[in-house]
Amino acid sequence: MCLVSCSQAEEKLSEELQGKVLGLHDDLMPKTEEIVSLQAQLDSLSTGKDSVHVNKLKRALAKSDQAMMDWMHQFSMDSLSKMDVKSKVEYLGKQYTQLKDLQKLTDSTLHAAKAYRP
Amino acid sequence: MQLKPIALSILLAISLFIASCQEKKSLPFLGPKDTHLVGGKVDTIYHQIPPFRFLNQDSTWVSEKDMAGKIYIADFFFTSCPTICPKMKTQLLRIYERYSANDQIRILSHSIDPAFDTPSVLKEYADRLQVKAPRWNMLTGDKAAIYKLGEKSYMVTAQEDKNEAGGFVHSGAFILVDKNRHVRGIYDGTQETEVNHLIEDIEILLQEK
Repeated sequence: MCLVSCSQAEEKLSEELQGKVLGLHDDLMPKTEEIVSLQAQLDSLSTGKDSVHVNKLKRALAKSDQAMMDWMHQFSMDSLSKMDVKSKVEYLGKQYTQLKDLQKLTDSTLHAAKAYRP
Repeated sequence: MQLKPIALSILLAISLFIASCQEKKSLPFLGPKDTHLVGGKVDTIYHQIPPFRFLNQDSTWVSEKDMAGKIYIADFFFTSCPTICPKMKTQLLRIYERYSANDQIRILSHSIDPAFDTPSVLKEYADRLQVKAPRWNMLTGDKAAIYKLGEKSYMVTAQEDKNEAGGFVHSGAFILVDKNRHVRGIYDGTQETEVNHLIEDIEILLQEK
């Protein structure tokens, strides 16, 4: 009895996790646009009086952008489709944790860069 | 004999009606417009995609000069995108196949992840889809230049409505550009019905001189 219902529960969990992972991805991706646009704005200020601070903000933006792209390059729907349900739940759980960290990094980096006024 | 003027006026009415219907079928020019006077006439300057130069999947430069006299569809994607890009790809393939024998139509897919999407990565991607340049160019280059072009030049309606959510990067938009690089329509590339509408509009542009 448990065999059937347990695997059904895992299946459901895996689907939920996949939705959460992809949702978070869709929330984060448009933010790269903000990052690139802020980088361009800061570029013109990088030799001014606040150059040390501006360059620090720029490095942080580049790091957060790279972290997003790195996540993207390692995440694979193809490998996911070949996994059994137990591995799926494990894989998606890890991916979700990574994305949550990425979200914190992106939001705090964007917040700091937007707060800067020359 | 007296019927003649009536018949004529009916004919005139019908032809006016047809003319007005045809007029409705012309596409708008999107983006900021500028007007100025030339020899007492008002001349309108429409928003135009500025010059650009990117590398395609064959490591060949593609610029605005290659688009002279071509109608093209622009979009923004990246090869490792797990969500909306597969849907956009399916829709673009429909357009590619439909116009495979029409040299007036081009597709320009810009990578928003150009550091990773090198020409060789794009080549592999294009080969898997079985599509070829110059009909479908997959472009890579300077990230800031690609983003600026997307944000400032292609997504013209998003700029007009400041309340509109999201930018071009993950919008799934297809942008229809005419032979003079004017933006004539923006469609949701993840929706089949929207892309049907885009195809109808391509047909209208093909009739334009």
